Amino acid sequence: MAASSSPLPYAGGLVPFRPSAAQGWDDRRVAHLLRRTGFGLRPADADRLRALSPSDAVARLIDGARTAPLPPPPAWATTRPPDRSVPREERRAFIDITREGHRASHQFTYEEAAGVHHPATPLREKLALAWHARIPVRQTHNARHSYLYWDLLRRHAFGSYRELIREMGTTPAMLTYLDGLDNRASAPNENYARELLELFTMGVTGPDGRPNYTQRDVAELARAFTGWTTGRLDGDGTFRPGRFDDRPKTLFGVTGPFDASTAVDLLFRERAEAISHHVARHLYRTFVHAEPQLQVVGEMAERLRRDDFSMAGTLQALLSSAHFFAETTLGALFKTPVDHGVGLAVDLGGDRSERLLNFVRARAAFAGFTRMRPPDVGGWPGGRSWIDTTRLTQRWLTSDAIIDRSRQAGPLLAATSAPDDPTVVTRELAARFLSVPLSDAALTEAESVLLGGIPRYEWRADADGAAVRVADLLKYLCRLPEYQLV
Amino acid sequence: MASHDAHRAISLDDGSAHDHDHDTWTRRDFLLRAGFGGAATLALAGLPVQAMCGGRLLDQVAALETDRVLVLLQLKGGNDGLNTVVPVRNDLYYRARPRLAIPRADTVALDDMHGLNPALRPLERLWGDGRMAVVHGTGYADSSLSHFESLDIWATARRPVAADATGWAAAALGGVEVDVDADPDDDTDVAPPTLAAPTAPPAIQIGAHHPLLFSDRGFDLGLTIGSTTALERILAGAGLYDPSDRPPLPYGDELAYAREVANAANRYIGAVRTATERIRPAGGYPETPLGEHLSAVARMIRGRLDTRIYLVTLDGFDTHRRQAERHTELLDDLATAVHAFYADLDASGDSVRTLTMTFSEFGRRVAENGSAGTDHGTAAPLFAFGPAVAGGLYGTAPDLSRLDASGNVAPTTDFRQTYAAVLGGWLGLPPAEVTAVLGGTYAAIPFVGARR
Repeated sequence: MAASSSPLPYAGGLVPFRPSAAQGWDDRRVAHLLRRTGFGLRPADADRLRALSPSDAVARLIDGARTAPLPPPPAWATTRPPDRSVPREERRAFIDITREGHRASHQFTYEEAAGVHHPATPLREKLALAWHARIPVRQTHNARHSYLYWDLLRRHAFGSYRELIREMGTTPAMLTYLDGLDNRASAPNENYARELLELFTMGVTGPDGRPNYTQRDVAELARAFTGWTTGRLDGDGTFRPGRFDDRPKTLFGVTGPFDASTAVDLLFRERAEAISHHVARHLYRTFVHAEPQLQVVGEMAERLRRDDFSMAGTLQALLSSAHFFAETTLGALFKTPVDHGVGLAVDLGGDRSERLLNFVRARAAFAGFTRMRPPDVGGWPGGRSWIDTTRLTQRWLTSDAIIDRSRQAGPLLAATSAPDDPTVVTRELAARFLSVPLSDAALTEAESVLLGGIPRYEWRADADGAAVRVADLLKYLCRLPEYQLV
Repeated sequence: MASHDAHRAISLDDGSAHDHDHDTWTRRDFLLRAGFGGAATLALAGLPVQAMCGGRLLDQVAALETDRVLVLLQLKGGNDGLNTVVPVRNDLYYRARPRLAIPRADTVALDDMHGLNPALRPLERLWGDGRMAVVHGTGYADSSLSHFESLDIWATARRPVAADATGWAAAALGGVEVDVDADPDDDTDVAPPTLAAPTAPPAIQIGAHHPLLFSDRGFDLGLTIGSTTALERILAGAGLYDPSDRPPLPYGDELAYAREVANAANRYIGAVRTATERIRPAGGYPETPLGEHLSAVARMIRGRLDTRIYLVTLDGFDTHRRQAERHTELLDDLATAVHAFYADLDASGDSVRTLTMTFSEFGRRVAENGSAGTDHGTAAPLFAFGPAVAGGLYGTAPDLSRLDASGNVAPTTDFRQTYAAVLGGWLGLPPAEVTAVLGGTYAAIPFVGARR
């Protein structure tokens, strides 16, 4: 792909952000950090972070997410599928367990994003979702596969990308999705090998525009990945020596008896530059802007290589950088459907019930995101592709319904500094819900929505219908193009 | 009925107890109601909206003053051309595919050398009537085996593909987009205005993301645009947000983009609704996403929606393993849906102005792989359908004895030659413009036949 020029200036790159009179550690920047690293904003979290320095605030978010407990495997993930010999009833029971497992697995992602079980999980889930979007799989017949795949993404969210990729190659959901199950010495299947190179690690061409690999590399790499299948009973990735092609392979000009693990080591050694750029670009696109600023990405890639592909240090540097907090970075990213739905539920400050999160999940599908059902092996491209005429109108319906269901209009009105002043109510709610400022004209328009035709001097917070009007204002704000930005 | 619906639309929206003159339309009404046509929302043709708005052929409006329609049918994933149009007398084919080859006796003969996959039998009638063309070996030299690169190349007719490339269909349509001269401060507190015709989406894509068109699976607010009066109000509100009023920061660019999309959605919802509200869906389509989507396209064509290009997608052709059964299902779906589509349009008299062409990012490897599937390949045949097509076989089939290092055929037809046919021969773009769209001059494959 041709290099593209980012609209974002370098603005200091990864140099740590130092608050100044012009660019302060203010409400907007604290909100920026919280919204970009999580889903929505809880005022109490903002208060806590504002008391820290920017870099301490980032360290706290990362440490919190890295050490937040991961629950032990739930029963649905450890139930072994029955043998063919068992009675039909028992096999049917397993199908039910699987169905429940898939549902619970989806649900858990939305709960982690909303911080239901532990307040620090949103950043970890954001990373897991970001890598799911880039290294997607589809749901299989066995819910344990989903558990293993998501557990992998969460465990490695701040760890080594090499280890993430190493495990990915033999995790059963991926073996199933990209035909690893059929890849054996007698009949190699190129599917995973090709996508590993093209989509998961380096891309067709490197930062210098030259090809990163040849068709021969793909074919040889496919042979290195032979031998892996899923155990019939437990469904885990299993190595069967009889299916492995143990003859030498020549990869990137190096000949050796590579297997699924040593081939990954070779990849990261021979193509460290390309892979570090690939990882850096994706982290950048997740947290900063859809069009990577190449100089900043270069610095991130260098850091990744220095850290031997461990991602925590690069994340810390990026999220506390002058570039990340520059005026030019703020608000220029489109929300994903999960950002949009979960974020609104959190922003409203009320219900995060299973029922509401289920609804948010169902609605995300209409906005283009169904977890474990990627549009294709390239995953979800993100950026502006989240916003088209269908998806945007679907988002409108989603935000309307979440606002109605949450019934938070009254409490939100009461929490403003002057509920009886429609101008103050409008301005404070706009500032709380939108990542970018509204013009005075737009605020006047919004206030007319709040007033809904009554004269300004007749507005009273305790009047019948005031909450309905606040809900109308919230719906209006959440339908604004501004609300799609974070 | 109209008045009942209009009443319902208003009363549902206005839950609060008082005020509101229900007969005046304020901008607030529109802001809160726009998009409630949930079931009739649209996506634009897989092409970024800004490409639709900023085409380079603004002078060519006249050239596209036509009621002709082009339906592009994408076979996503890379269709196996050799098992679609089978080289029934080629031993190399049968030797390379011990498990997947299709016996000659099973195929539908096209000529002495070629037969259709039996799953395509529903197309036999179109073929027999001379309304189906087969273009052999379509692809491009030095083919990319990457889905993504190849899709981009087919979409832009360019290689390498620039980051800000324009889709070929978008480029061809650049002149169709009508600038809606919107005044965002125009509070239309007046009686229903006299309206110009709604701006139809120049291109419509169904099925690539969420194929919700005309289905009722959208969120049920129980509220649709209830009357023609309400619809006129919606149309009057086009240009709701002002994309030019952008803050001079990077977020301003994204904001302007979101505003354009919001405005387009509002305009297009109205246009599609106007065109289709009196058109009943026809029967005979398969109960598959493709069947539903082609049925929806037929309704829009029959309703004379002023849209020139439709894109529908049939996904699942990336058959790396156990291809036979899956490929049969896909081709059966394709053939049944296309057959129903033309039966539908024949009945309404619209088939003569509707030409359909298939495409896929690449074909597949000549030799089957060890998983009873096929890996990524290069050239493959594509199809064109419709009364306007001069039926028959075009080009020459690829030579299976001369494969490249990966075991793939060399293309015999450049895919841009098929684009040249539909752009020039069908949509009527002048030759210079066809050249501009395609980035070079390509000899049109003459499958666009008798002009009306």
